[in-house]
Amino acid sequence: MLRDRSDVVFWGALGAVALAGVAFTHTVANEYYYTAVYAILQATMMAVAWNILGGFTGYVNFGSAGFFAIGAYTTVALGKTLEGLPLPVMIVAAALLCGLIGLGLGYLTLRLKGVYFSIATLAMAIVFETLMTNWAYVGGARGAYILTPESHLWFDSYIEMLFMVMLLLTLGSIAISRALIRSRLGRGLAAIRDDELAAECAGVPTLKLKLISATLMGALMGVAGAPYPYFVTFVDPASAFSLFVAVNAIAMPMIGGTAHWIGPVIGALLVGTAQQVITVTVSSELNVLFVGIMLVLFISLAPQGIVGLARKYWGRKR
Amino acid sequence: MSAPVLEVRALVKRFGGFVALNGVDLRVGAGERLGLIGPNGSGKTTLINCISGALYNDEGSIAFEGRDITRLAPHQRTRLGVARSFQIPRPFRSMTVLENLRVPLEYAAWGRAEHRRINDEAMAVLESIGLEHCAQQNSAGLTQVDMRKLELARALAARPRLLVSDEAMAGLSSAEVDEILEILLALNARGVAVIMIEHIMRAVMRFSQRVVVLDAGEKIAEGTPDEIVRNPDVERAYLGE
Repeated sequence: MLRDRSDVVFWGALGAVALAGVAFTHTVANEYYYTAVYAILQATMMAVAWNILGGFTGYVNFGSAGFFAIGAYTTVALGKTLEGLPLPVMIVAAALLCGLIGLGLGYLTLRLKGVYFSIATLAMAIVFETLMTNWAYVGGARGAYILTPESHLWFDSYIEMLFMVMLLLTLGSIAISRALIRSRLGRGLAAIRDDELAAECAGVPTLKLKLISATLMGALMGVAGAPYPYFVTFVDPASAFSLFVAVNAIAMPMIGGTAHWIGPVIGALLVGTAQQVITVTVSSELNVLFVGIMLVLFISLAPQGIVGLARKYWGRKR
Repeated sequence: MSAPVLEVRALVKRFGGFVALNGVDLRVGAGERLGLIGPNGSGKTTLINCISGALYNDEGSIAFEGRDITRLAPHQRTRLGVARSFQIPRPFRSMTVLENLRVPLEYAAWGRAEHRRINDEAMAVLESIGLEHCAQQNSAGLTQVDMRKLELARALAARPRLLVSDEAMAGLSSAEVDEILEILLALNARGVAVIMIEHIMRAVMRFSQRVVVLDAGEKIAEGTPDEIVRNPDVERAYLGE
């Protein structure tokens, strides 16, 4: 695991953040902060997940909200069927189900190139939203209330525990994303993004790699969505499948930079934090506008995102 | 002729109602140097797209080293030992030159490569082609001739036994053409059969042991470079009646 200095730095930083999270739960009592940080972490995880297929592999996916919502509804449905099921079981179930859906969707749509693929993913999200809206068992269009479990282990409140769970999941997804892009598999994905036919002719089994990428993306999205019902305690199709969720998952990696694993992390932390601040200080509607403006600015002025800007800056300095 | 590495039989490829290839046969012997020429639109690139798997043929069969590869995906053919370069260079633009070579080494040649020494192997290929000075350079910023060399280097890194070179010299200066020619000859000397598609006759005639001429999707002539130069059908195809 620790092959060179950057590995030491990376795992050290990951450990430090996890410890800081623990310290946070011991020092901060105001529940608002947990809610805010949880939202940022959830966005980070979705950005990281989106970037595996959208950034590393080059297949822009508008259906992220679909996977996220299916993850959330997995928890709703399982929680209703088998009461008292622990959260980790829900998370694993959401990962498996959404991974499988990612694989299936990939098999159906990854033969499509570019914008056609993007449209197909958007359609998929709408299909699943319609299904959930008409499935009375999970609340249908009215939505479902979820009771927060009473036990919260050794934490002071349930939201503190949920915050810690999300922190660990996010760190885990970042570690997966980093390991992926640095591996042989990651180089294969980058080859597909750069030129799919040339990749095939270099021996890269492009369909197989794209399916792996879509499966991983789906699974991580589902994991990000699994704890969501306990976080908001009310889930309905309109909020779970919200287009804004999908736009965020695209905007954050774009703003941070899609080619590097750290891009979506930077983008999500930056945009997510700004959104929380704007929601509290100005208005909750304005943060939609903020994301829109940021996205337009970055796509037109810095298409490689913050990572690209940094590389250009350091490159010139050297 | 020695046992063929590639045997193409009665290949037909249609695009809608247009017949791009109409019953083309092609045999390439082990270690042979074959020139493939023909006027623009005669079906040369379609033929090698069918050989490499970028397109699937409608009729006929393709066998590589005695094995039928007609329905195999391009990456499977590359793994078996059929590599190609592209007429318009298609480097992996986000990668350095060295990383460009890691892709075929890690995929096409993975079964044969020493996994811990991929960088050394990539470097060796770059040296053999005279591109080692830009190993760490981004591939998108290369000059035209270096871009062509990268195309060949990437095909070589797949450790092929048959290389299909699609107009690797088009638009290059005379000295650069000689450079590419030397690379292909050196490669062939190591036992790799080469199909060279080219419009530069000087290069084709010097390189090829045998030349095949396509016109309007059909093979109109086949023979040694000398025979081809004197062939009246070839003259008619190129210059008209």
